[in-house]
This record gives sequence, C-alpha cells and structure tokens, in this order.
Amino acid sequence: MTEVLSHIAPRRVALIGNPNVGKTTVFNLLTGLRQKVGNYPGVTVEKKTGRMAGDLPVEIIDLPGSYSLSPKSMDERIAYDVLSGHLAGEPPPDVVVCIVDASNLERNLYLVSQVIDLGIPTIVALNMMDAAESAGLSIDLAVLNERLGVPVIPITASRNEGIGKLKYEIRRTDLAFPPERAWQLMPAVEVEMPALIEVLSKEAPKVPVRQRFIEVLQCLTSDSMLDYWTTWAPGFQREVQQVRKKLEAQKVPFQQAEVIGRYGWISPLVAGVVSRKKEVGSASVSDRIDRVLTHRIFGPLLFALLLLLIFQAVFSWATPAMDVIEEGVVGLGALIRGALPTNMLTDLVVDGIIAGVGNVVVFLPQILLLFFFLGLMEDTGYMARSAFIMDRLMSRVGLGGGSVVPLLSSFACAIPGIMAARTLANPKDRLITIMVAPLMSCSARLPVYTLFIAAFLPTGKVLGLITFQGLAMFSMYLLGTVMAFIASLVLKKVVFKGESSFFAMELPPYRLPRFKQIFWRMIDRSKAFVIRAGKIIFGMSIILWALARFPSTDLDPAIVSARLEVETTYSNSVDRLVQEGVDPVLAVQQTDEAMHSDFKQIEALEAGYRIEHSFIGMLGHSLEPVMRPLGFDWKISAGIVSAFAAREVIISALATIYSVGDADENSPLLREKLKADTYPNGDPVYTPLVAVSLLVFFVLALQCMSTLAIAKRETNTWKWPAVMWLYMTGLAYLFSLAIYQGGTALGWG
Amino acid sequence: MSPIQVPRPLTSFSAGVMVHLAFFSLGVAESQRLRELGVREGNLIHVLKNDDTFVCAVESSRIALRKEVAMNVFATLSAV
Repeated sequence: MTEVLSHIAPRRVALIGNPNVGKTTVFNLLTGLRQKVGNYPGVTVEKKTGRMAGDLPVEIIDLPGSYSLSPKSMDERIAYDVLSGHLAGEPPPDVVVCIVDASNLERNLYLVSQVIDLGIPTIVALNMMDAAESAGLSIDLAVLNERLGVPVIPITASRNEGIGKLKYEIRRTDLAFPPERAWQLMPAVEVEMPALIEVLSKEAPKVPVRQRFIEVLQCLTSDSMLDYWTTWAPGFQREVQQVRKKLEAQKVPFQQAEVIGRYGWISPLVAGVVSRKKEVGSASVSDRIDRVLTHRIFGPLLFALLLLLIFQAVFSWATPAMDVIEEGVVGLGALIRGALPTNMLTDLVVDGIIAGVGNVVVFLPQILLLFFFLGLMEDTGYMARSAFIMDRLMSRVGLGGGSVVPLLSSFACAIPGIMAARTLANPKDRLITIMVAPLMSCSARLPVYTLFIAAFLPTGKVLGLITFQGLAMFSMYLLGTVMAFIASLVLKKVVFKGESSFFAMELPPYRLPRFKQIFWRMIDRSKAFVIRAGKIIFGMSIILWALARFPSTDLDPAIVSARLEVETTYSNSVDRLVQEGVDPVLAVQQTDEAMHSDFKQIEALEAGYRIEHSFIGMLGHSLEPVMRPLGFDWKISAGIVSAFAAREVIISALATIYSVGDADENSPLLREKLKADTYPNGDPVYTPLVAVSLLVFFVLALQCMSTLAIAKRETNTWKWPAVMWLYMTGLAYLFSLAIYQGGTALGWG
Repeated sequence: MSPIQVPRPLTSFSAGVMVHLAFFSLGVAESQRLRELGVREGNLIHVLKNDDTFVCAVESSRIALRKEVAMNVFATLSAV
C-alpha cells in the first residue's frame, strides 16, 4: 500500500450504499444546498451531484442505492458503470465513500468488498451507530479498520454525528488505495480467472489493472455485463462464453462463486468484530408497528384510507392553486392583449406562448402535492409496506405492489402518476405501469364526462338510489381501471412474456420524516418536470395554436354584414343618447352594457367560422369519414383534434365551433346547442348513443400531449409513447365503433 | 442425538420460529437477489409473519417475500 494519491485538482467522490442506509442524509450533510439534479446520459436514472464546501473543491456524486455491484436494476447498473468508468462522459471517481448500516454489517460489507476490489481509494462510513447500539451490537472499529484495510468512520447521520471526521477523510490527499483482494473464489472458477484477465488486458488495456478481476467476474455471471464488451473486446467475450460452457459441463455453480467466496471472507470477519448483547429475534418498534400496518385486514384498510387522502389532496386540494394559475394565465394574456396591437404576433404571444407556459405550470400544484405524499411515504418507510400490502392483488394483473401508488395517482393526472413510477425497482414493471397509467380516468376527463352525461343521459334513478348519471360517471372510471388492468396483463403476457413473478424487498425500519429532505425532493422533481417535459408541452401548445389559427381566411359575408349591423346599431345608439342630453362617456358605457351580448355573439360567430376554416377544422372535416362510423361529425372530430392539447379543451373547442363563446361543461346554452344540432337530413348529430360512444372514446384515447411528453421523458425514447398512443387510440376507436354500430343495430341510435 | 431434519418451504413454518436456510428452488437471478438481501444458505432467519404474506428477519433487516417466492426457499427449524 505504498501508492499514495496526490490530488490537488477537484476530486470526484461517489457515495454508494444499500438502499435505506441513510445515504441521502449523508449527501445532504456533505453538500448542503449546493446540489444539482440531472439524469445520467442516455438513461432516466437520476444523477444527484453536489459540492462540498472547503479549500479543496470536492464534487460529491450520490449513486443510486444498490445491494451489490452485480446489476439487477437500471439503478444498480448505473452505480457500477459510474464506478467502473463505463459511462461515457463520466470519469470514475477518485474516492468512494461506502455508507454502511452498522446494525446490518454482514450484508452491507458485501457491497463494500466489491467496491474495494475496484481498486479505488475507499472510505467506509459506518452509519446508524445509534441503531446498532440500541440493537445491542458492539463493533470493534479498530479491528474492522485493520481487516478491511480502508478507513472506517463511525457516524450517525440523523444526528449529524461524525460528519466532520468523514469530511476530513474525504479531503485527505494521502488517502491510500485499498488492499488487494483478501478472499478466494471456489478453486474451479479461481483457476480460470488469470487467463480471462490476460485476454481482457490485451483487448482493453485501458481498463485499470486493479479493476480487471471484477470486470471478468461480472462477465462470468451476467449476460448484460458481458454484452458491454461486444464492441470493445469481442475476443474476451468469446473466451468468457467458452469458460462458462466448460464450467457448466463440469457442473460448477460458477454463478454462486462470488457470493460464496465473498461471504466466506465477510462472515468470519463480522463474527470477529461484532458482539451482540441482546438476543436475536426480539421484536423491534418497527415490528410492533408492522403488526398493525401490514395486518391482513387492517393493513389494506389503512392503506386505502391513506390513498383516499392522497387522492383527495391531488384531486381537490390542488384545485384552488390550479385555478389561481389558470386565472393568472388568462389575466396575463388579457393584460398583454390590451397592451399590444391586435395582430398575429399578439395572438402568438397570448394564445401560443402564454397559454403554452400555462399548460406546463398548471400541473405544478398536483405534482408538488403528490411528491410531498410520496416523499412522506418513502421517508417514513411506509412506501415499501404499501407495495408489500398490495403485491398479492397486483400480481394477479401482472404488476407488483409498487404500481398501486402511480396508478392511483393517475386518477388525478397521468403526469404525476407516470413520474411516481420511478419508485419501481423493476424496469419492466415500471414500463408497464407507465404504459397503462393514462387509462385511469384523470381529472381532465371529468369536464367531458360532466357535459355529455348531463346533456344526453337520463336523470332517473336505479332502484331509487343511484342516479343514471352517477352510475354512468362511475362506469367511466370503472372502464378505465378495468382496461388498465387488462392492458397490463396483456403487456406482461405478450410483450414482456417469460418474466417470472418475483417479489422480495427489504422493509426499512420506520423513521420520522425529514421535512427539509422531502421539500427539496419535491422541488427537484418539479424542476425536472418544468424543464424537461415542459419544453415538449410548450412546443406542442404552439403547434396546436398555429393549427387553430391558420390559414387566415376572410370571414363569411353574412358574418361581416352582421358585425357591420351591430356596429351601426351601436353608433346610432350612442348618438341617440348624446342627442337626448346624456353625457357622451355615460352614453358609451350604457351602450356597451346594453350591446355586450350582441358583440359577444358576433365574436363567437367569427371564432366559429375561423376554426371551421383553420387547419384543425380541415382536419375535422377530413377525419369525418373515419369518425362517422363512431357517430362523430366533423365538429366532434375537430374537437377531438383540439383536445390533444388537453382533454378538457374539447369543451372550449365545441363552444367555439357552436358559437357559444365562453362556456364550460355546466353551460346550459352549450348543452342546448349540442342537442339542437342536426345533419342536413334532419337527423340529430348528438344522441345518447353518440354521447356514450364519445364518452368511451375519451375514457380510452390518449388525448393528452403532456402525457406523451412525460412518457418520452421517463422512458427516454419516443418508441413507448408512440406505442402508448397507438394502442390507446386503437382501443378507443374499436370500443366506440362497437358501441355505436352495435347500438344502432339494436335500434338505440 | 436429534434426527436429521428434511428442509421444508419457508411457508411451512409458523411466525415466531427461527430457521436455518438450506437451499433455494428459484432461478439463478432470483436466488442471487435473495442472497444479496442477506437471505442466503446457512443463515439464521426469524419468521415474523406467515399468513397471506411472508416477512422474515435477517439480522436487523426485515425482508418481505411474495408467498410464491417463500414457498421455493427451503429451511430447517433451528434449535436457537
């Protein structure tokens, strides 16, 4: 151990540790507020970095929680790739700090031994010393330090104890490289290693000497790790495959060689440094809490109550803030429209840019609230329990228990729901959850349901108890949920077939939440949404504005003369009042009030004409032949196209097309106009059957560009959002077609 | 001298007993994950819950297993 580091330049320090060992708390204590959150290149795993204050500039990288460096999840793969320098643009760290749970030394040292084998200067931060003491464990730090051959710093991060010493060790420029491997593989595997290391060093000489052993070992046991060398060292790859075949033929359990070898070294080491004062098996406080929270009856009940609270918060508590944002956006638009001349640029600023920003910011209250609750669940340790409680039920539809929270959050909005799927460790479960989350009826569908159910469905009661309309509303939610479950089952059986059902997870001890940490996590996630998904939503808002605004067309002569007539009446009215001796200002005011609705009507007529002749109107007309079998005319089709901005936009789009002006889902005038609309042959455009067909279309179709944007952001490709849009639109079309054609055949049209 | 015990699935032990893990009847990746979680052959495990779900204690960690997973982990009753 004579090699000594002599860094003066900024050093990169990676924090690694098992999940739930207090790694994030240590990261926060080391970096304070000097943190940055981004993504690792090419993947959606969050990259958290921060600066440690002091004379020597130190960058701290918070790696995802990992049980080992043999990657099973995307998070663990990233941890290994960062440490080994496999990730482009990410040089390996100068120092690694392993955060270890002192009360669970044996399992945690498995990861430590892998990190040590990488040959990077390593510090072990023995966290939760208080918990170890309460559990009756006593650790001989001097002996542990000596056996591991790397500095061991006892800390209790929750009380900020030992952090000063840890900072001192991190800053040390004479930090030694860790000792050579002290454990052995089973002989049949060990004997193969030198030749494989030799082949690797010839083909990939840049791999540091100390790192070669672990690289070879990873390739021997993992296909995905071996795939990495396809381009870099194909000869090495072939050699490893041959050795694997040979070991298989000899019936050598080489895939277990690492676990057996490492634990063969770790177990006696731990036995030599840890002494236990309490009996094994005594129930902890967490065990006692779990007797209630994971109870077979009370557990799901309490979880349902908690979900109700979260659902209520995201659904209702966010509404006032969302209303304020919406009003603010409208107000700002009106202010700017008043200040700027009436032209296309003003339209672009108000209806395109400001509305586009509004479309992004309006989701923030829901996202902040959802991530507050998710943070609370994660921080207290309840998140793991919720996944555990719901696992049995969710496994029947091809998902794990962890998918419950993202799916239920999607009832409020698919965007926070899709983002919440980040908590799922299994990438396939996460992808399926993202793919089916938009089928849950979000709050944006509610205005559409309200308008069409109130306008076209009967008001009577079923068995004198539940109204038909209430039942219809419930059916919409039920249909979405059932379809989400069916879709996940199909995806699991067809797209991700062959995946075995596996659920094994650690239930961390319950802890008091750290609100500061939760607050910063909320801010980080919201920033990620506004910056990344916001760009796409904003861009799409401008495109939709342009489609509704262009091409500029001359108004119909009848509308022009109607406006002229209203304006002439207005002038005559003002003149008459002035002649009668009314003050001119008062005359204008009185006439404004009297003729306000006339002007509104003309403006609505003009807007209706313009949208009919816009690209969206044209699209509506050209889609009509495809949509007619579903019972939709060009106006509904144009409404559906406009609703791609956000589902509820169909209400304002239909209000514009029907020249109703400002109308919402409760507008009686809009309902009457819809009911009164007929085809040239006198048949009504809207019947209860058309309404049901349209409702079902909205339950199943992916009419939301923001959802597509966030799905792209979370999956890091347009492939899955495209598949999502296609399968949901296909489902919507087929269901609406079956309902309308079936209903018509049965004479319900 | 006590008779040699035949390993049984974890789900056949009641809550409260201590068992020694014998072997896994799972795939390589699944077995590997369990070992990384500390559930590995030879370890002493405390069965905490065994009804419709399964929870055990390994040292100070609490590990939840899907019933189907626990059924494929074999152990013998410990004298501890």
